[in-house]
Amino acid sequence: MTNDAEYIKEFVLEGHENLDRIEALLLLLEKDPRSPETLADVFRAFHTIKGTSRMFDFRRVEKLSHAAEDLLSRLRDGQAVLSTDNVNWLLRVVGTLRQRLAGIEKAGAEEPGEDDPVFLNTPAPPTDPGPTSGIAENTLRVNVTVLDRLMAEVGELVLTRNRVLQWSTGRGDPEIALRSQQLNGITTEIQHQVMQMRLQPIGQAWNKVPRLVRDLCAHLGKKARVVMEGADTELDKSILEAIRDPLTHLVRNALDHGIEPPDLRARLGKPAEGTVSLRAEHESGWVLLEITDDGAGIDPARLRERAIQKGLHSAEEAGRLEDRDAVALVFRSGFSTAEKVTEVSGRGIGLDVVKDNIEKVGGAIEILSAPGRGTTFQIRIPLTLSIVPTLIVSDGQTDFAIPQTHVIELVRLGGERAAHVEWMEDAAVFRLRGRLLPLVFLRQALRREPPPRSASTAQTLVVLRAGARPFGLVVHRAKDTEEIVEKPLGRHFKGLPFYEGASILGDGRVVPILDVMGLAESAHVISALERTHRLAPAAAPAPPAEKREVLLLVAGVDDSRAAIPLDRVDRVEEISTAAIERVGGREMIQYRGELLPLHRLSNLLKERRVRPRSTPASEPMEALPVVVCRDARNRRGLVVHRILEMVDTAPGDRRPGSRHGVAGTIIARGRITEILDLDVLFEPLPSSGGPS
Amino acid sequence: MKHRCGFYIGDFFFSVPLESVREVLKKAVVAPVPGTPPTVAGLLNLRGAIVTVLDIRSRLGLAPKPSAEPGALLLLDDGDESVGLSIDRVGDVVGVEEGSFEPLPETLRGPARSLIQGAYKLPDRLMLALDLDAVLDAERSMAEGSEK
Repeated sequence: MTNDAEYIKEFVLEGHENLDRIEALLLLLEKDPRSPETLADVFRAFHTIKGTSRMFDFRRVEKLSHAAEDLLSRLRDGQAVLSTDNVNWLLRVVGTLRQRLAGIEKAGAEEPGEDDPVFLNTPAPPTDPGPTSGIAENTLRVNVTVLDRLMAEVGELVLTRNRVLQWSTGRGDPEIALRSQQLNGITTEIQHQVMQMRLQPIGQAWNKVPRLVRDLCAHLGKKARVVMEGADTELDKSILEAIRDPLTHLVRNALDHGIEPPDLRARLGKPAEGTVSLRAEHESGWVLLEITDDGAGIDPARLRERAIQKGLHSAEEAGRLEDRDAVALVFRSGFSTAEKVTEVSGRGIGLDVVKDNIEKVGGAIEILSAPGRGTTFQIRIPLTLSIVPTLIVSDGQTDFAIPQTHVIELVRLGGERAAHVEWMEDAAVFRLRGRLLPLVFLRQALRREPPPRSASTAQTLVVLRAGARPFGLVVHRAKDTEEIVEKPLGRHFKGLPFYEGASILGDGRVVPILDVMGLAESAHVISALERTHRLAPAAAPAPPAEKREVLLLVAGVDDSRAAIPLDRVDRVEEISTAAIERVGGREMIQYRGELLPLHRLSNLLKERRVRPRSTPASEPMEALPVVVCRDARNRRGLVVHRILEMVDTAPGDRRPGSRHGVAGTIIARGRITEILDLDVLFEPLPSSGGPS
Repeated sequence: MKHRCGFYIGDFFFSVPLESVREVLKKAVVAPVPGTPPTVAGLLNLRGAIVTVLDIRSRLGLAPKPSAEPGALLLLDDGDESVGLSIDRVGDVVGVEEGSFEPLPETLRGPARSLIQGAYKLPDRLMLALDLDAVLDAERSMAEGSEK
């Protein structure tokens, strides 16, 4: 029966109201434990809950509130003095009652079960963690700090997962690859679930509004109904908490200043019952909230007058204010239009506090009002509270923010350290503790300037994590750290890879927030594939086996590295230097009845390093390893210094190559290694076979 | 009778429908953002919200405004967003009759053409109708801007 459902809803709402009241009173009691009025108030509130729950036959609620009432009657009669233990116990009862109410609201009936009699009978904090043990519960309360910690740990898990994935690809062991892909999937799912856990429907902040409006109407002698739209719109828990009070305040405001008394409304030709509507919807990373009343609206003339009275504006200035600017004066501190401070809205909290609270979580509020027709407050808040600790860096001209989650360390370049920057054609790398770090020059990447070959000016290297691997971002200066609230950029920035958002610093300046992944990608430090993989991990299954490529890792004379796709390798031979013949300036050997043209690795890829990595082998070797490669028509021999190993790579490991003859690069054995593009390197065909 | 908001960029006397203008800012500080096409002047802190500011001067064949100086802006209605348009100064709101509109004069050539729908004949001068769709079109403004 719908009537029953409505009564139950009313019961739940009223129950929550009473519990709110009890909580507030208990805090008062902690300061003044003997106050007979306060004790009586708490007693009455529990008594009300007990009485109504008995009507509905909600036995567990009744029993719990009865136990509380018992304790309170003893306290009230002076048989005992309220102790901290008592207060804690009462707060636990309140918490448990809330759970019961939530269950009743959901199911329309009380969940079966017994509450722990020890918990009920002993007015002391039980030592077990909760009274609900052993009872089937669909929901449980989790402290938000626990959730936050969990979130942070998940972040670490993701990073560890990335490291494991990178390590396992280098192993070429299918068993390890399979297990790490499983780890990958599970990690992604956990990450998703933890984010989900923090999302709550806005209805949770709204569910007290109908009751509030009812009470206010009774108090003010007005009539109003509440209309809600989009109560299931979800947003982050912390945002929800942050807007709860502003919301309540705006509703109070609408009732107090907006909706007119019924007789006046009748005279104005409006329905006697006013309407307060709450609306919420998602819009690309934001939640839009509207609180509208069909009341009197705000008269800009009155606000101008008031601004003059308050000395905020001269008469002339006030006269020049646009209507909407005049209406927006309500957000100024200490600006109240109520004729007298009323009991309902005027408690020293003004709309300026509402505005502050909303802006604190990165939101914005605006007011639209039509005199005689009503007022709408429009609130725009981010879906998740993204207060991000960032590092502010400068490229010499503009400041940028980098989320600190990406920052591994800062290294000062310049002086001797600048010599550690090595160049491979247009690509720069920095050797940091034996590890090669690809470099991106911020200024040049953004402004499309050629990179500075001589790093003479003092610069700072920000070592960043992009996906699984680090890279170095060269900035002019690292300035400061600052906690910022991330705000989305407009659609004109959609095609740009460099920025993930923007923020407003404490001094009002706008700073763009660098998209570390995008920056790395645009500078070819990571491949677009890896980025997509990371951004949509759930959608990316383990790469099918045939997509993986096995590479043969070889070393040149100076320990330079190269990789050859294994499917192009016929065999690996060792040849005697004495067997090499010179035909038309080209080295060849007799191999299996044919002439095999030889190419030396060190000649194919011209040396691009500033200094050799190690002393070249000075003595000529008697035997040389040759990798016999084939294409559709011919075989070629690639003379290398050493054959190292085979590595198994996924497409995501590859980055685009930066020069002719290189199909891409991978990181193998901690070094950037170029994958040879044999089709390009071996063309054009040597003309050695021409008529002689 | 429709109302149009007139404004100046260089020698151009433009206008847009009054209802497309959310606000006029006389002195706004725009933070430049490197890596954006010349048609994006930067970002504006509008009462705590971040607004993209466009500069069509490069599309008109004019030099972009030096971003360090505060300048006048029209805040245009772009659906869910507000977008700023950097202008030299705002003019009057002019009531125009449909009959006074003429398509683009043949004599007008050059880069500005793609941004202008036509002109309204005012008693003393011509008032150009800026093509807002062309101005706000993110892809086109990127493409034409990057040709510079």
